[in-house]
Amino acid sequence: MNERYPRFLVALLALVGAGIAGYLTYTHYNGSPPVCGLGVHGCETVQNSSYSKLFGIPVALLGLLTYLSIFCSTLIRHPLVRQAGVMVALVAVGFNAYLFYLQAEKIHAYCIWCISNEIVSVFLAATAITWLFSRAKDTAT
Amino acid sequence: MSRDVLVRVLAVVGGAAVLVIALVVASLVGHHSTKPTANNIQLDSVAEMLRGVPQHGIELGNPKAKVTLTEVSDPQCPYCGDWARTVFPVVVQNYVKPGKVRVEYKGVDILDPPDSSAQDSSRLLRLAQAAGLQNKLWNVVELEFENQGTEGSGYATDAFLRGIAQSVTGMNADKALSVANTNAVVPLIDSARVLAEANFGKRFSTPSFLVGRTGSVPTVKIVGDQPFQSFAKAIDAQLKK
Repeated sequence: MNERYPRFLVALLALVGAGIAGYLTYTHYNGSPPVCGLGVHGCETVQNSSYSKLFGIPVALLGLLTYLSIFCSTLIRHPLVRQAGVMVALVAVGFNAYLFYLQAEKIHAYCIWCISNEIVSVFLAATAITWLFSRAKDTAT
Repeated sequence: MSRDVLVRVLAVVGGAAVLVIALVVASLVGHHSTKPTANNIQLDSVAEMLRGVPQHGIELGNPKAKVTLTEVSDPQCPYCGDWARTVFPVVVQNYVKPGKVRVEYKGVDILDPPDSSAQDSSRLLRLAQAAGLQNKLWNVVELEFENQGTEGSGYATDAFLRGIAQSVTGMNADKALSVANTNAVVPLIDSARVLAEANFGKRFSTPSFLVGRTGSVPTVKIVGDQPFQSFAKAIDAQLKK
């Protein structure tokens, strides 16, 4: 597979993820509750929970930086940068799985924005792996 | 797949796995890093928050305040602790200290597992209610939240409770600890549960809140560790009535 297509998809999904994480970061610093919809009403509870920060930094901001770094990795055409981008995408999906576990088992509330973010990260990781393999194949052949 | 490619893929996936584990561990350690002991009671912020605010039994603030906020919480409930540490100080600063709102504490012990010897909620609550008999309930409650340990861990040891009691200026710690072990505090704990069940149902959760004009039946219910804006909106509406 031509590596252009998965690279484009990775960039697109990273921007979608950055948009969601950006919104959650904005509401965190603005002090306003995120708009919750689709019958899910736990956004404020999740955002105010003691798990919403890591090293004192809002998880939403870390997510925003993560997605932006993945997006940047699609702009620089270097094998190591690409591998780093894929690795960050895999870290994102792994950590998002943990965040989903926290919502279900520890916080007992769901945030529709966080769940959307988690879904995006799954697609992003899958696309990133395709990207890695397509590039790897190109290099190997 | 060539050996080179395999090594590269394993490096990426392995590196990602290591980073995820590191982040999860950091998150869990950060969450539990505030576990208290009897020797590191944090009290500066509580003393500062309550300075100059009148207390009487379970009440905090001006008795003639237009609005009453009733807090139903369990002392070892982490969401109650989070609310107490983040939202409550802002409520005190903006509404209680100016005399607009009085707060009533309705402490419950719903988180004590019936089949366990760890009865943290009950022990913490008994001390708080005993402190209320010396009009120091809020100092104890907020210190307990400020130094809250992990739910169900048995952190409310005798030494921990003594540390809390001795940290409250102007309270006879020995007397409070002694009264906490008597039946004098039971009616207060029972009445809080009755109020909670009447307003939020048999399976109520904590924290839960009631907001209303003082002396009237509360009209607004707030459930959960909600942000300050939710309380400001409810209180402002009652103040305008």
